[in-house]
Amino acid sequence: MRIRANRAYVGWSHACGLAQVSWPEAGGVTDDRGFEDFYLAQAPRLLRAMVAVAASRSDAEDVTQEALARVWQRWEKVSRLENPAGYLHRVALNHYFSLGAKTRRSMGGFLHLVGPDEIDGVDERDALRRMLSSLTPRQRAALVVTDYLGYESDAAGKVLGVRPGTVRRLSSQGRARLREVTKEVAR
Amino acid sequence: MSDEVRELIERATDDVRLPEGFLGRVEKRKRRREARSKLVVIVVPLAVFAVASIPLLRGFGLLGPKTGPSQTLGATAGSPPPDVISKLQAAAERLAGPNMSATATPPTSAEVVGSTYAQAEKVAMSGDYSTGAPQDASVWVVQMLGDFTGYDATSPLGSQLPTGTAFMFIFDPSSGNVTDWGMGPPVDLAKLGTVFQMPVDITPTGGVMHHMGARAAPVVQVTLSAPTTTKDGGIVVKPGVGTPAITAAEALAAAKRAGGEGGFHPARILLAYVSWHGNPEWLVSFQGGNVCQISDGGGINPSPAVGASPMMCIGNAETSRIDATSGRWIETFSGGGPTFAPSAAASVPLPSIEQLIQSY
Repeated sequence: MRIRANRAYVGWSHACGLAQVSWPEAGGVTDDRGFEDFYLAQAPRLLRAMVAVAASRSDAEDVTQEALARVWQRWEKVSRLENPAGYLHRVALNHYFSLGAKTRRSMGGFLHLVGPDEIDGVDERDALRRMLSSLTPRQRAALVVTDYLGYESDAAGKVLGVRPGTVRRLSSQGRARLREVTKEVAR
Repeated sequence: MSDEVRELIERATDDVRLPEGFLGRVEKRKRRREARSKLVVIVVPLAVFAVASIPLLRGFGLLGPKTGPSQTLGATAGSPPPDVISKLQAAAERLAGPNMSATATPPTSAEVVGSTYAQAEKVAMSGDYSTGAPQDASVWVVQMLGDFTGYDATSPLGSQLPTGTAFMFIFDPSSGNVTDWGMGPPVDLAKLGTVFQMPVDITPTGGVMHHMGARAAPVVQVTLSAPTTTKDGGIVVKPGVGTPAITAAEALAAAKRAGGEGGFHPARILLAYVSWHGNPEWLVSFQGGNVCQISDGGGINPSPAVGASPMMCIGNAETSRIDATSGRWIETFSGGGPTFAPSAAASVPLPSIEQLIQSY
């Protein structure tokens, strides 16, 4: 699948430059087995997080695959970091926003027709995702990193490549917007 | 509010699961990244050094005049048997011709060497990792020199076609299929074993014979009768409500302006008026072409029809979303594969809007 998106995030990708990553090192495993354990623990959560940020399953899969591939390639070094998961999240978000600045291209993704009994669940998820879609990508990313992935502002700033104050501002704006949308839906 | 947001995100994504084979796709990407890194770090400096050294060494008499592979086909142990030679020649002619400009000078001979699939991929395909044959399978590697342009290569629409001064392919005699092909700078096949010279008769036809001719594609308007959604993306597409502000013809024109026709001539164009996430939109689908991409593969059609492209690509439909109120282009996506050559794909256009949306 390939998508040409009509969005651009100029500037954000620079703020997320990979060179700024400076997680402290700690002892860690260095073999593929170690990566597989890491993958099993982190990949499902990262994919869900990226679905929420990207608002697109195919984009989320693409970004998740790319981030995991990059981390795997550097696993000997990454596994020694104090927080390899933080590095993974940073790489994924950095990659997502850098894609946004170029022509967005999505791979994979499949649809199927659902039966009538599945429509209700789909409608609820659809409504929730539309609520998330009412936020800007940066607001979504800030909320996902802080509220879903559970980072404090300082660490969230490191993951997002912005100052902690910026994370707090984006999160606050995002929550306010969600409250507004919730009220609109309730009416 | 933090807990509520977390719960919202969890509920919005509670149907998201890692697809089957996800780790394998991650590994494939990792291997590609490693191959690219090795190429940049090792091959480029070595190639520059080697090229720069040749005239110098020749000048000092340390290197003899350039000679081709010395072994004669069929006269030495290890040479491919006659029935394989004819298959290799046929494959060379079928693959190389469409990937040379019609004005290019074709090669008259090819280098052939026997190897294992793993070694062949490593040397001839720059370390590309694929599963075209078992790693220990005995294969033949063929290389031809000339000016090649990847008219049949898988590449994103709008990107430059790949080029190379050597064209290589790997042939698996047990299946009779070409498993990999590509082009780039020449590689030293002597690393794989004894190299034989094989005469070939290549007719360059790139950009001429193997692309679908322009045609007036029939335009069909279809109606979605029931809601359709994704299994994982939560995209809900329902039948359009009321009368759209812009006509089907205007939507088609908007899709064409946006490049939705892609790089192929469609066999059929489907239009459907739908409600996409509640927004009135036209789906305009150009179908029956050959939509290829690098990232998720593409490959070789092992048994292309006579005159058909040897490429196998992942889709045969390119679909644009056009806002039915303003006529604004929203996005274009492609899929619907896997399918074979353009000529084959053209004979099986997707029949309905539901299948169209399935490719999203």
